[in-house]
Parts: sequence; C-alpha cells; structure tokens
Amino acid sequence: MTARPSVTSRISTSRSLGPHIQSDSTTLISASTAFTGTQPISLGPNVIIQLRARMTSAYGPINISENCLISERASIGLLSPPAPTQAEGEPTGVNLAPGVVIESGATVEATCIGAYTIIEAGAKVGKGAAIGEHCKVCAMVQLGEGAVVGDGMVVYGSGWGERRSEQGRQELEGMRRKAVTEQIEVLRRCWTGK
Amino acid sequence: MSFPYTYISCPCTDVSTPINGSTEQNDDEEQERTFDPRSPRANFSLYTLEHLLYCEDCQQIRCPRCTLEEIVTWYCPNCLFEMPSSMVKSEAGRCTRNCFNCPICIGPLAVTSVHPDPVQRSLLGPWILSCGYCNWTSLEIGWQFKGLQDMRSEMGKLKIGGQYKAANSKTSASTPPTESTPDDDPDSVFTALRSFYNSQLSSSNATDPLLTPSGGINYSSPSSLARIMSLYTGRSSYGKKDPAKSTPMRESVDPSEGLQIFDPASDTAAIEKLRTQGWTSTASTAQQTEQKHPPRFTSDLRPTQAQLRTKRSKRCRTCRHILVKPEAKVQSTRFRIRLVALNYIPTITLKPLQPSPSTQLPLLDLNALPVLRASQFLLTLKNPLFDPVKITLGTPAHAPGKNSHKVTILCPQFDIGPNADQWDEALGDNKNRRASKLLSTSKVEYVGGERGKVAEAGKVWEKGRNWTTVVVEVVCQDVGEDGEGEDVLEIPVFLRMEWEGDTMEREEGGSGSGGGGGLKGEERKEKRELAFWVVVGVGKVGRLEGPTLAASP
Amino acid sequence: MPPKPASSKPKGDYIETDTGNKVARRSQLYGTQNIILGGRTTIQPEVCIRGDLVRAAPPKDPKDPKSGASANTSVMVGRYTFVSTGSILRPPHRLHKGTVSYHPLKIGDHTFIGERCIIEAASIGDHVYIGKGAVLGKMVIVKDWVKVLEGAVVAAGTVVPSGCVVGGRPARVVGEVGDGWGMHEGMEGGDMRELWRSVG
Repeated sequence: MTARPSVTSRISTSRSLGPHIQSDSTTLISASTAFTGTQPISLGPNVIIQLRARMTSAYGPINISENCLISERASIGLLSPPAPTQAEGEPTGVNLAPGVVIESGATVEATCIGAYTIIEAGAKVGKGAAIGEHCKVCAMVQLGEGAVVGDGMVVYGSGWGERRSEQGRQELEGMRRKAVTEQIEVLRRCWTGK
Repeated sequence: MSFPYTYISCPCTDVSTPINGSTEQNDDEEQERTFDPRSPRANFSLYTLEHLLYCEDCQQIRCPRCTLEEIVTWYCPNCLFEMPSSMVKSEAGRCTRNCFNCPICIGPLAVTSVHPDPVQRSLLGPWILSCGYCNWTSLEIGWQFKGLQDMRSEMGKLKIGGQYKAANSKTSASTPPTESTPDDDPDSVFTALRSFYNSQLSSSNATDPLLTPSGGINYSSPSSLARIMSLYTGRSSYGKKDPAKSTPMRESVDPSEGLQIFDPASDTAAIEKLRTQGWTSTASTAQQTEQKHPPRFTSDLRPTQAQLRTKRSKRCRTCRHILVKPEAKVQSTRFRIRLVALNYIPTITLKPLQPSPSTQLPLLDLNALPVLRASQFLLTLKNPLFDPVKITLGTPAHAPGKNSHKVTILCPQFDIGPNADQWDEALGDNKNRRASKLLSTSKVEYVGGERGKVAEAGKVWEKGRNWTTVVVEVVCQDVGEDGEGEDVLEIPVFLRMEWEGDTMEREEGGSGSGGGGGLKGEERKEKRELAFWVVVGVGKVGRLEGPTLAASP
Repeated sequence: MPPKPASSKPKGDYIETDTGNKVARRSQLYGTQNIILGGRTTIQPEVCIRGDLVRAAPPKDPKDPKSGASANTSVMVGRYTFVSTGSILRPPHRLHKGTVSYHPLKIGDHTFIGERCIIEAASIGDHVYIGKGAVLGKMVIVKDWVKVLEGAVVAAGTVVPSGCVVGGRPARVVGEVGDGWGMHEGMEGGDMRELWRSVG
C-alpha cells in the first residue's frame, strides 16, 4: 500500500524480458502497471495509464495514441492468438486512436478503436473488433470477436448490447473532447502535483 | 437464483384455513395435504421472510395479499420531493419538476447547458436534456430549452423536430385551412377533437344528464346523479323538452376541429424508413409503453416525466389494524408501527453438511447435488421470540415433482430457547460468541468435524441460546435430461410452533416496532401456536456421472 | 439468503486497526490519507480504493503535493460495511464550469458490496445490498435500504430512492424491499456485525 501511486515516466523498460515500450516524456504510467509480452508497445504523449492496468503484447503490438486514458485494472492487448485468417497489411494488435477512454476493469482486445470513443467500466471488446469514432460502449457490455461498430454509435444494454446511432452529436463533440482532456489534466495534476 | 433459499407460504392462500387464524379445528385435514411448491398457485403465496408481516390481533402471518395498503406520501424518485396528494391526480402522477426519463433507455435525464463558453455553462442556456447512459440528448429531436424554470410546459408546446406547435385553435381557425399546416401532434389533435365534440354535445343535447356544464362527462358528481334520478322519476318533463331543442350532431370537418385525413404518403414514408434504417429505428414495446402516444419509430420518442412513487402503510385485511406505518417524510426510513414477521417466526437457514474428509467424497455443490447418494444439510431455526418455542417439522417423504427425491428430517421435534436481550449478547461469554460464529454461513461444517459428531436420528445436531440446528437428509433421484426447472430440489416443510406468550390484553398504541418483546405488568401466559408451510430451495440436482457412481450405493 | 464472503481466509490476511477495521493485506488502497473507514469495516482482498482521486485543490506547494490535498477526504466507508473481493471504489468526477473535479464517495453503515463491483457513486446509504458484478455509475446516489441486483448497471446520475430494488442495464426500479429489510442479522441488508466477526 503506497500513499500515492509512484509514477514513472520511462523511455524503455529496464527489464530485459518485457516488451519494448516506446513512450513520450509526457506519458504517465503507474508503477503497478503490468507489462507482459514481447511485441512493442507504443504510448503517445499525454497518455495516462492508471493503477494495476494490464498491457499484454504477447500476441500483438499495442499502439496507444495521444490523450488516451486507461483506468485501473483495464486490460489492453490480445489475450489469445489472433485469428489466422488475417490478410496482409491489416492492422494487428490493439490500436487506440487519440482521446480514447478505457474505464475501470474493461478488457480491450479490439483491433482499432476510433478517436474519443469511451469504453465504460467492465465492458469487454473482443478480438478483431473495430469500433468507430465518438462511440460509447456502455458498462458491462460484451462485444464479441470481430464486432464492427460504426462512428457515433452507442452500444448499451446487456450481453452483446443494443445499438443506436447518435444524432446531433456534433454539437456535443467539443464538450466531450474537452471532458477527456480535462480529466487527463486533473489526473496529471493529482499525480505529479503540477 | 442462488441456493439455498427459504420461502414462506402465507396461510391466507389456504382456503381451508379460516382467515381469523384459529387453525385448531382442521388440523387433521391439514396434515393430510402437502404443499406443492411446483403448483402454479404456489407462485402467489411464497414470500421471503422480510416481506411478511404479523398481525398481533389475529395472531397470524400477513402477506401482501392479506393486507390493505394506504398511500402515505407521494414522491418523485428522482428529486425525492414530496407531492401533495391533491396535486397528484391533476399531474397524472408525474413529477412537475425537471425530472425526465430517457425515451430510449428509461434512465434519468440530466439537464445540461450547451452554451459555447464552457465557464458559463453552469449559468446560461440554452439547455438540453441528456442521458448519462445511452447518450441520448434532446438535440436528437431538435429540442433546446430557453430556461430551467418551466421546462415541462415548454416541452408541451414543442413538436418532434423542435418547431413549436400551432399556438392555439383560435388563430388556426381564423386563417384559411389551406395555409395552416395541419398539426399532426397527437396531443393537439386530441384537444381539438375534444373541444369540438364537447361543443357539439352541449349544443345538440344540452340536457344530457351526464354532461357537466364544462362539457365533460361525469358519472360520479352528485349533480349529475341528481339529474339521472330526475330522469327516472320525472321522465316526462325531460322527454318533452328534448326533441324540440336537439339538433343533429355533425362530425369534425377540418383540421382545426381535429380532423386528420389519412395520408397514404405517410405509409410509404414509414415503409421507406423501415427499409433504409431497419429494425433498430423502430421503437420497442418497452419504449412505447412509456409514451403517451406510442410512436412507431425511435426518432419520434419523447422524454417522459418521472413517475411518482409512494410510501404506503399496511393494514390487516381481517381486523383492519395497522401493521406497518412509515413516517411520512420522504427521506426518513423510520416507521411508526412495524409489525414484521421477522420478530415472530423463526428464521430458517440451510447449509450443506459436508461429508467427512476421511470418506474422500467430493464436497457438496449446491448447483450439482449428488445423485443416488445421501447428502446431509443443516437446517437452523433461530427464534426471535422472548419465550422458548416448541417446533414440529413435517415434510413429505418424497419431494414433490416428477422425480421423487427422498427427504428425511432426522429430528422433527425440538425446542428453541428464548431470544435474550441485546445486552446479553454484548456481554455474553465465549460460548455465545462462538455460537454466533457458527451461524455465519462462511464456516464449512463437516460430518465428524468437531468432536466427531455424526448425524443421528431423533437427535438435535447443535443447539444455541435461541437457535437449534437439525439435520436433513436427502437422496436425490436421477433427473435425466428433463425440462427446465425439473432439476431444482425444493423441500416443502410444514412448520408448527407452540409457545406460551404473554396475553395481548393491552392497548394497541404500545405495539411499536419492538414487537412482542419487553412487556411488563401482569405476566399472564397463554398458549399459542402457529403453523405454516416453508419451502426450502436446496439446490440443483447434478447429473449421474458414469457407472462408477451409480454402482456405489 | 445471507451475504456470503468469498472465502474465509486464515488469520493474518487481514490487518485489524484500533477501531476494528479489517483490511486485507492484499487489498489495494491508494491515497490512504484520504480514506476514512468508519470502524469495524471489512475490506476484502483485491479490493481497490482510489483514495488518491481527491477534489482538485490547487496545490499550495508544488514540492509537497500532499499539502493541498490532505484536507480532503475522498472515500468514506461506514461502520460494519463489507466490501467484497475484487471491487473497485472510485470517487466520481464530473465536468463543472469547464474543469473536471472529483467528488467524495460516501458509503453508509451495514452496507454490503458484492464481488467485483465497480462503484463510482457519490453516496450510498445504510443497509444497502449490492449484488455481485454491479456497476454504479458516476454521481449515482443510492439512499438507505436499497437492493441492487447482481450485474445491474446503475446509469450515471441516477437517484435510487430508499426501499427500492433496482436491476437491469440500465438499472430501473423493479420492486420494493420487504418491510422487514435491514432488521435482521445475516439477511440481505441486515445487521452485518456477524459477518464482520467471521472475517480474519
């Protein structure tokens, strides 16, 4: 039990067996984050990875763009080998676009998640799924393997969830974007005192 | 459903039991019949202990079916404000403040500002309603609100899409019908139709006895009753006036009178919308039931006002005494009167008695009970009364259902000690502490675990201050691949308790939530008894695993 | 149906404080100076409490960030409240006047929180039973005597009035608790002293 999470900002891991982590000087990674696997993990600027998150790059690389927020106990990365029928040139591993928020306890194995999409607490996104921009996957929803969710969709309810596309969201996009950056800002202040 | 569970059958469903609670004369009959938890009727008589009440005057358990409810307070579940009962009817039981529910997911809607400057957002509008769960916002139907004060009435004037409804019927009547856009909003169509036919009714048939002066039809007001009476008694006088004055009624003929002409284009539009937007654009039944005018598509759903909830007091249906009376304040969880069965009848808990580790049998799993092998369970009864209680348990030898699982209660007759004061427990010795630990479900018990104890017929397993544990033995039959629910083992147990209680010759006022305890004065004891069926859900019967297990017994 | 702890651990897995709080050694408490346990509170293993998320106060001294924050409490858990294995307690945040601020999370007495729950509520009352795997969204207010069914997702900002049973995704009121709720030991929502005693 530490009084506060000790924060390290590192360029590469000192452990020889861990994955190669590429990150920015503005990336904040909790010391209790578990990195496993051998494939590269790249973390963009202003990414915050909170306590006890798990980053698994054993079956594919992880690529997190700037301004992403990974909450505690979230699991990012493929947990099993990818489907063999993957064409050449397609993105592999897990790719998060800028401004993605992954909430507590969510499991993300999706191939790509669009900008400013939010994956809520306890949600699971299966292997090979592709989720568009400005989406919301509500708490505890389980999206199966290969699920495709278009831009601006909300997946809610139980199990695979019900879907609806959000109309008139453009007016709110700025506000939501602001909420994400503010959240990152506040967390940064909270952790680093700056 | 998680096992094990205990349900109690309220005696009120048993038609052979007189509702006043004297069970003595038909004891014989009662013992003949057994309660079947699988019968469709049982669904309506089984309650958990906490839902049951106890009427001290009838000396009987009372369930939601044999109590009467009276509303104490109406309140909004969202803002927790009380609404005076005089307003409830006129507001159709809905909150008048800014409490709205999402038309999509029925979650609560928050009022948020979409002012471009983020710092001003908490102060200035325009305001929208937004759902924190499914991200629905009132922008989807084009609604923005100018102020926070009267969102409800502003909402009443808005149409889907954000335009305001035609101001009122007067202006639309003055303009030529070709120019006025037909108002297809169901609410305004209804009001137009209603006002038109009201005027028709009053002009054509002024003396209709059921018509109130305002134009509505009222069957219950005293004046209309008087007019009906005069219709019967002095018929001739009314009959003569009528034909002279009545003019034939006409139907509404233009949109200002509420006429809506069916437009085939709307059908084609709907079909087109179905084709392009598919199933997800149609409103579900659950969504439609929340709406005043159920629309076909999700894009036509409107936010709904939060429905009020109530706090209710309960009376015994037989003697009309109040059993439960909550405090009127919304925020308070206190009760003025609370006579719950918890304070009168024993709590019944069941837990598996694991086979002794030396036998190397697998541990009992309540979701897969062993087949064709005796498994033992501990049935603990805890007495809430301040008097010792004599218990008699009875159970059919075979659990009801297609597969007759064998059930035996090893010790069907026993006593439970009285419940003592809380202080006794607090100051209690080690034995009491241990006793309370024993009752906790976390502890696993084994056959022969402590002091080499083995279940014996006719002997109590363990006894504490106000509780007693007996062993129930079950031999499950193979259920095979039966339909749903067939593999659930439920044991009906007839519980009969006898005790000597204080006589209830006192005024009603003193019976608070304290229940039957703590009475002072002349100690006159009276013999009491209470009997009811209990259903104990033990678990699911497992599958027969291979020939080895089948051969072992 | 009394609430069940996941397993009874041998002694030594819990630290017992002066006020009788039993905190599992394997729990993850962050920002402990901002967490208040009411006494005789049980925190099971693998529970994560984010006490470090305090209301954003401007740090007075950038070298000692604690100075600005220590006055605040972020998580308050009441007496005899039981937090089961794997749950996450996290103070909620909201966007207000253009900035995100964290609000304290208050949990009442004799409340049971099931396994693997994620709690971001603003307040939870007394004698509340939260079934396993439930998610309480941001700024949710749960009044006293409430039962949240297993796997329910209580949408952000919901108010659950007292005496209600809520369930589903999103959670809505599906029933009412009995009049005997909260009165008896060992039942859902009931007295939790015994459960506290059985731990550790």
